[in-house]
Amino acid sequence: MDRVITISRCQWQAFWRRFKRVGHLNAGNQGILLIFSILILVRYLQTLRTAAHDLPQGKTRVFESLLIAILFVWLFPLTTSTRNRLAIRKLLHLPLSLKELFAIRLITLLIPPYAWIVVAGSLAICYPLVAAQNPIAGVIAALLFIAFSGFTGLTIAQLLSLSAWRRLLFAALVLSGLMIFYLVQESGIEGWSSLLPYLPATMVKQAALGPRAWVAVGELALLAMAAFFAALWSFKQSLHVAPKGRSQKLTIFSALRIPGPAGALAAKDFRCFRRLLDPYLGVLAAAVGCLYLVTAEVASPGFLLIFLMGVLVLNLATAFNSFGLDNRASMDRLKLMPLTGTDVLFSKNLAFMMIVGFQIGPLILLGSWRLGPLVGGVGIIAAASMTAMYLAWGNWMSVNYPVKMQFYQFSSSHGQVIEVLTGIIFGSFPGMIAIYLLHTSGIKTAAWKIGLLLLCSGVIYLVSVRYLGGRFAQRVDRIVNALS
Amino acid sequence: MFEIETRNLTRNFGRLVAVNGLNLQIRKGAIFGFLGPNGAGKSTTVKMLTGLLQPTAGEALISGVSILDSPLEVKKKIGVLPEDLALFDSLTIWEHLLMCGPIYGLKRTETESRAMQLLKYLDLRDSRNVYVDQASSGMRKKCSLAMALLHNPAVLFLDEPFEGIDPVSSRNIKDLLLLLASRGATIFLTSHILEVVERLVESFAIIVDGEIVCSQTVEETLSAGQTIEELFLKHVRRDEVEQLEWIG
Repeated sequence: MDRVITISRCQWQAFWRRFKRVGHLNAGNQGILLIFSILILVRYLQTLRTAAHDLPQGKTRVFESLLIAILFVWLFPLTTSTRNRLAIRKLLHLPLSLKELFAIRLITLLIPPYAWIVVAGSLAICYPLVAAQNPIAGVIAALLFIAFSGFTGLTIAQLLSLSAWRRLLFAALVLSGLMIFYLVQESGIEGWSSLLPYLPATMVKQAALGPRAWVAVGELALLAMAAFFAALWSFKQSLHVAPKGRSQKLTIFSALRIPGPAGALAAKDFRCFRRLLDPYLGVLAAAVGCLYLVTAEVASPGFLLIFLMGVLVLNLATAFNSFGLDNRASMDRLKLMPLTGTDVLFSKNLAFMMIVGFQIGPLILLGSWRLGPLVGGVGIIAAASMTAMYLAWGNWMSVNYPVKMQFYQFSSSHGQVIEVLTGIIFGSFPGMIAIYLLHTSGIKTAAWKIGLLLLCSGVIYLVSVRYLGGRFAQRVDRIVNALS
Repeated sequence: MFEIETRNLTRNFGRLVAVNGLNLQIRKGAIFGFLGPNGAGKSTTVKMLTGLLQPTAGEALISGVSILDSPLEVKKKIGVLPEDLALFDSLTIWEHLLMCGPIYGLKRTETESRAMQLLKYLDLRDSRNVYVDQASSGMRKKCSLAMALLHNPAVLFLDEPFEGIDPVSSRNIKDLLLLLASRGATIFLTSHILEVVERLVESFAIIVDGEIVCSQTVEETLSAGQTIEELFLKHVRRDEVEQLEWIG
């Protein structure tokens, strides 16, 4: 136990030292994040009061929504906590048992202040349960539910570091999506009702209100135990990730090469970006868009543009934080090469275009097939225009607000809320204009106006890459420090 | 004209003077050893000469071109094996070389042919598809060295090239460096393995606390009846240390 405490104390010191390095609340919009957090907390407390009022009357909708929110809150922060896992791997040479390492991992997860907020917010769910019919069973069930959520999040985060499991989880996600689509198509939203009793949130409700409260508690205890053992097992697996050893032989992606220095670097960045999880959400969005275009009785050009916008938004981490996957060594290599800042930025942009191109390509093709080649052409112009705007804004953000991202994790804005939101509006602007034009004027009139939009976006992009390329060369050391 | 020349090259980190008024002159085709204890300023000097770090004061010229005024022109002429190897974790050894060629203006076929020859020479051919983050430290170092050599640079900067390298590859690298120098390339290397330096370099300098304390040719050293190691230990003072009686 002493060893666990000693190492946890060091982890605590290391975390706060990193935190203090930032220095002030303005950095990374931490002040604004704090305000948002307080606003969300106030809203949460209000909703808790509503749930506490509704629950004794048997109304459980608000309460169950809160439980689902808690489940998701526990899932996502844990998936971005790679640094902790990496730090644990560095402890492997010490005489620590698996249980001790796992205990350190759990304690380390609770070091950041956001974890305290999540814990406090989760425990607050016990408040409405005090007024329920079975308060003790309800509170125990809620605590088990929180434990289940935490261990499930941890398991997923750890499995994402294993390539076979990553593929499996992605396949499971796609399959669940298709199943939901099938259920909704076949029997409407009611098709879900048969699954409800097996959901953990429903079990908490049954424990608090139902006649067989302790059965529900027992079921939740089993689930929590299963989640705990799954977390421990996945932790053990993630500690000893077998090296892939060799890269896969020529795939369609590695065969694709653009000539010249920028192309050589873009191939490298393309490879990096593919190891971030965000673009796979873009793939899902594109797949949903394709499904819509294939199955809709009357497809709408507006929806095509909305799907294009959605794909771009889900890929924005690779445009807005294009140095996020680099480290000191790779930045040193860029500095050693005979490249200007503009070359480096352009290569990053090229990689983004390749990633997005693969996703929106099928959408555009299906759009042309269902809605005619003119709409397909408008889709291409609008997508190019939005890409240019996203990249123009993204170059500014990448150079000024670089944030470390980790392979096989979802990116996190780490507080650049205002800049990211403004960037989304800025980047989606041509798409919104295109939808408006398609709605108000004929397709032919809209087409040339959207073409003009592309011209403007192109000019903005060129100015951005040129100016910010120079700025990159000046700020490269700061970027390296931010990524270290 | 000297191939590498520094004039009062200085670098401060806050109050710490890492390199203080360094003056070096290295002729074309020479192998120059830059020696010193840990933290003496060797890697800082290499970083300034290769454009990784801006000097606080002074000037550095490579083939007569200022690294401060024309960094791109200089970077095209030099090959660098940096201290941290500067590799991309997500690429294989082969992909590193394929990426490097076009950046230095080589055609793809030329890049592939040179890369394969270098990999064979450095005994890396069988491990060319290994990701560098999963490669051994020796393989990583050889990959970085191959990247430095791929475009046939006029000046080569090597920071600790023999550290962590197996004896066979080490011998190959030494032979390669001698061949390069005989064909007119200038080599600037730092190393702690003084026996290797003695057999390889033409001249050397010892830097201690950011200042050159000794600069001469190997011939001068040997004719004075000394070895580089003796000279090194003479200039690098070692404080009296307590015996660790509890060990063993």
